Amino acid sequence: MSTDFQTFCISRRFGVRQATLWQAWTDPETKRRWFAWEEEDGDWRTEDYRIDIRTGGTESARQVGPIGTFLFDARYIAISAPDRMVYSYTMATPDALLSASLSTVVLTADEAGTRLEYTEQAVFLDGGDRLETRRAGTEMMFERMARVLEREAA
Amino acid sequence: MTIPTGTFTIERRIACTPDRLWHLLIDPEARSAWGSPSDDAVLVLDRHDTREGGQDRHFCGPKEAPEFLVDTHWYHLSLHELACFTETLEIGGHRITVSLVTYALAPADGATDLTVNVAVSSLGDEDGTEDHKAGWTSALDRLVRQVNDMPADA
Repeated sequence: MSTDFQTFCISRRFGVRQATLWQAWTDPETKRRWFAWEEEDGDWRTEDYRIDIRTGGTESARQVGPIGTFLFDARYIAISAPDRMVYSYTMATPDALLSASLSTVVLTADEAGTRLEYTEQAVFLDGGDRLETRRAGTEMMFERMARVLEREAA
Repeated sequence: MTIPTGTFTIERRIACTPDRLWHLLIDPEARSAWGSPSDDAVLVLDRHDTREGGQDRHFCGPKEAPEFLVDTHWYHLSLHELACFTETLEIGGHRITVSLVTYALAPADGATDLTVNVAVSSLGDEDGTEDHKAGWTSALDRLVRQVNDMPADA
């Protein structure tokens, strides 16, 4: 069994107040809109989405698409409103664990809005995923988050 | 404002079989004997549920007052090969650090090569990575000594 330990960081500015961005992550209904998504063409959908965002709380989802089914399970380890959270999560198929990650999120208000600093420390098991695809998937997730915030501001 | 994060890897060749080493690493009682972060600290088992999804709890610190709480949350246990878990370190109700740890074991000339990967997210203002590295280095040195002092058939 092989292990590949990797770290990546994403920094992105959102044109909303810090409290709005914090709510987008911690309000279950808002988070559902950008995290538990369903593609417009229907190729990917999220099933059994559960969320309980508090220190010690958990979040889980089953993402089903043309290349298989992926299971997301997260545990919120530290949440400090309105600017910091640390959570761990695993990604798996129904047969095997693909990765385990430690994610650190920091929101910093500035004149133009709020900067989100995301750091993920991950171990990928047996080549089941890799840094480039995980980073790209996370950037897409933040893009969906931005679109949801834009729609809600309109 | 940031949350300091860091990673490190420690490797040791340990003079026992992978199954013996697996027991020493995973069994919570066995870990108490080698797992403290310095020679004059103790690691005291409080409770355990060592299985995927389970959680162990130790107290750690000076013998007269082991006031640090160490919660281990097991994500993956691949017998004699790979373990993946998070550990939360807490004192006085305050979480100090969260770490993601993997043990990878590989047989090597009658011994076992152990690779320990650790990713640390520090919840206070100071980066705890170097303290964790010193603690893991001390603990693994103690594990090596413990194995070397065991009878061959232990």
